[in-house]
Amino acid sequence: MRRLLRALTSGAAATALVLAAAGCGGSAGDTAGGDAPGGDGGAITVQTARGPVSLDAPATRVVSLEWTYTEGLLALGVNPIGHADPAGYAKWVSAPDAKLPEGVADVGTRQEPSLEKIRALKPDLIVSDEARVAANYDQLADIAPVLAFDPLADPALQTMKTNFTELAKAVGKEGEAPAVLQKIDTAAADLESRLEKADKAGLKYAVAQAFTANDAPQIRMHTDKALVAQVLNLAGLKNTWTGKPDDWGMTTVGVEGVTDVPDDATFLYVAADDDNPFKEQLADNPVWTGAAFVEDDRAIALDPGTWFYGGVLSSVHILTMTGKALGV
Amino acid sequence: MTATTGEAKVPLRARPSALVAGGALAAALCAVAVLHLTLGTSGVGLGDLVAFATGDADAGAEAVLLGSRLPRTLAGLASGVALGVAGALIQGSTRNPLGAPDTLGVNAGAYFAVALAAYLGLETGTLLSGGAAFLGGLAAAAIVYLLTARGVLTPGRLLLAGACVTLGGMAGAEFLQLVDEPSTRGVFLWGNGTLLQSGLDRPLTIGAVVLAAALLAPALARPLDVLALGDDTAESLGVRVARTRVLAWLLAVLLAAAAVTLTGPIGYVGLMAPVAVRRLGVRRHLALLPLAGLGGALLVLAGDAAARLALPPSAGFGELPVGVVTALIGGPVFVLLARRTQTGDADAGAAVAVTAPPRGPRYAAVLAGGLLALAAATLVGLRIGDVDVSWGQVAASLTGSGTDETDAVVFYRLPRILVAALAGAVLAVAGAAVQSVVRNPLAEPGFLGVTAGSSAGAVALITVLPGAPAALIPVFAAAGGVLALAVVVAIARDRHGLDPTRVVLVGLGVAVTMSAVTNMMVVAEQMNVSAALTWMAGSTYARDATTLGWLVVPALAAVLFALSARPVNMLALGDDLPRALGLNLGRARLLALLAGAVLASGAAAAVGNVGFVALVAPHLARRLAGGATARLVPVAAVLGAVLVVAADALGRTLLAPVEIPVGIMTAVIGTPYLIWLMRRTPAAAA
Repeated sequence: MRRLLRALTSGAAATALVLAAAGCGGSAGDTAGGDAPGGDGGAITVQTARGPVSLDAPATRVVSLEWTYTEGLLALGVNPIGHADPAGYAKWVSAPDAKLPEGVADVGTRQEPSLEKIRALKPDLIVSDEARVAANYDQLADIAPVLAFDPLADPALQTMKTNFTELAKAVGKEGEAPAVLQKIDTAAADLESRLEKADKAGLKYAVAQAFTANDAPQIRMHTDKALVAQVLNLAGLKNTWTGKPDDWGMTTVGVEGVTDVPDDATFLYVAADDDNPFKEQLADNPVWTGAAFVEDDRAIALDPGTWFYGGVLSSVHILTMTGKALGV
Repeated sequence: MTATTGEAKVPLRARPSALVAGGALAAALCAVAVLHLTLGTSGVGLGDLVAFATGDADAGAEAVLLGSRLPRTLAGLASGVALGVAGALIQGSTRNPLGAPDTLGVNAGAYFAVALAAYLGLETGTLLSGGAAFLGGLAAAAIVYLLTARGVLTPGRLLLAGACVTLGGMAGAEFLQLVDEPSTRGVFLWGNGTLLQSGLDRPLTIGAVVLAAALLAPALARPLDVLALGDDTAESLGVRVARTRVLAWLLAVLLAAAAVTLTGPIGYVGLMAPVAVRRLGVRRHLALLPLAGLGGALLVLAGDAAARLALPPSAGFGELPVGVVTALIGGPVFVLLARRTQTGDADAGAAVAVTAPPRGPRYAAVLAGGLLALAAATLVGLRIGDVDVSWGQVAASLTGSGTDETDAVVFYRLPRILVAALAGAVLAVAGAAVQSVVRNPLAEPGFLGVTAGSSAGAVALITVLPGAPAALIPVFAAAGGVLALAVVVAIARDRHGLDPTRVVLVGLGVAVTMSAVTNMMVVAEQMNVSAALTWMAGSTYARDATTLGWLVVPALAAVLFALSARPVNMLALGDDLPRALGLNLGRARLLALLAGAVLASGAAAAVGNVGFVALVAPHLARRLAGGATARLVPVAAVLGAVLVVAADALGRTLLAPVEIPVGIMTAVIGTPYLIWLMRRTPAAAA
């Protein structure tokens, strides 16, 4: 009997814990900001992957949880107050004007940013990718309105521009967005004319990002579905990679995959300085050294900070760095 | 001899069948190797291969064969031979048909060591990372050996110890790798075992090491043959059992480490190859060792060829790791073997020592101490984290007089801490339930396939019905977990009822199979691997009051379990006594397991795969409060809560603002406890 009683008390304790927790959840819900998307009372309405989001006024305290939107904000002259994974950003995104100013708070990883740090920053807007906020959308929305964009909708370049324009609306810079976007077309036209002068118009290329895992090379080849190819094609360059694309427009191959790059193509690639399989692991590999574009010195490294999956500044940087790599 | 394979005795007329089997294996291996050499993104095929062999291939085809195909095929050969011979050595020296470098944790230890070397930025030359892998594998083998020191040959104990070490090693490696997100995709490949190489250098270097070690192995053939007759007989026939065993394990670790360095941990080859060769009638180790090597190479190359045919790299988003394929075949093979294994644990293996329960006042003190620790952990959890909050501010917020800023932080942390506490408590009770049936302190619900089933359920929902509401994910996770357990019980059951150890062995096999299926879905659907890895590692990130709701059902199951103390207590008494006292043993075991499954899959639905809690908390509780269920369960629940709350707080704080998933933190805390436990085990088992 005593044993039963004891079991019951422990059970009651567990039940009490559940009830207390449920009660606590209720009160947390009451304090929610009421910034649910879909409202139409605000002065500004922004289209996101989760439908329209309304803001009463242009946002000034923005936390960016994805690099693309960080550079988008910087391109518009808005400094974010918080930003995810600054170390990775500094390594992979080196476009001019995309450098993070001093004093922007580090809020952790892009996938699991620190919610309490974000809350403590008191943002009035949070920007991220739809795929990244699957787990924490509700909690982020409890802090501030969330713009969750989907960067993977086709066509990639237009999607990037649309998302950028929507972001510009949210920070009250809609008027400046077209001029910023125009920089891509300007850079593309400029590169195209320089290519023509150098007699390289319509140059055929393949563009790759490479890294290693346990010393084995992984090469991401980009199809025309990928942002980087769509940007390069603006300058009249011709992408030769036609493998099956993933959501990002990439085909991931081993070294043998480069045999599918036509002999007359120029091979443009990005690899980190400390992890460049083409300069290290593959330096003596006969597939690599025997490729026509390697023999003819047409395998060209772009600046390691040329980010293929970014926004406006990265897109312009892709064009600039390609021009530089091609010597035009 | 407590372990028998359950296979029919074959007369020692091994020579003819060894020749036939060897010939068949070699022919099959040649055929598969040729097929493997013709697979790849470029058009290089059989014709080019023939031309290459006769010396008149064109330059392009020769480059592809030398730079891509041969390295890959050689890597598969070397790795397969190494794993096959290692498996044969381990199975021979332990007389355990389920022994292998992966089931004993050697692969995981080696993998962890290589990941650690890479993380520390050590110059990762082939031989250096090979050396690290060897040390890691050796450490894992030593831990497993010591964990089972008194009963090395009970398959159950050996494999449970191996599974624990694997859990710790893999969690540790993940911990090191999650930090560096851009390379997670590569890590996913490597962590599952892939033949991808950058050239001929490494497969040739490591292949030479493997060849040398494999040639040494037959020196142990005679002692291993004699060892099959049992330790005592072997001793009396002049075999130095301990020395033979140590040498066999050393060689096996060396081989496994070489394989892991070259290709990552390719699962279940070391298990399947020797078993298959033995099924062909080869028993003598002089033939068994080399043939197991051939068989291993055959499995790896065939698995990789199958993967490349199923998901051609030229048409895919990346490749399917060969380790996923071998695990997919190896899991069911393991299950079939486990099903027939006479565990020898049914009565004798009551490893859960039923200690005398402490007296009333002492029990109250233990429970009170546990609750105090929980309160302390909760307060510390509220206090520490990414944003600084002082003790005074925590107190102010809790008493309703805090500022908005501190309230925001404290009341963000509170629901998450409550989720951690409740999930920890539920997991601990799940562990107590499973251990009451299995009567082994190293059992945990993850070893019953429950957690892997939950992952498979959740991932299946995400891939099959991408538009389904997120609220369905925990439902599918829980359903997957319970379904996995149902499969396990259905397979493990025989006319004698439910053998406690066999149920865990079958569960381990089902878990491996389920994980392989999950990995295939992840690859085929190109899911965000980083997100999937985080979920599988177990995370309290962004959990709030909604998650608490999911834990209500498991919490009620925990209470029900505690209430059914009497039959559960009797499960500890072995087979005969409870029957004599009128207990329906099969039903009692089934119900206790079901409770464990509901608890564990409920917890998995809420926080993903959090290991070690269900292992450590009940064990510690048993030491503090004795084995009586009504006392054990509350203490275990409180300790489980303390453990997960502490893991959550540390995970939020150590690398802030970067979060370490709680499942990795519990493994980091739990592994040392396991090693400490290892010191105690000999005495407890005596």
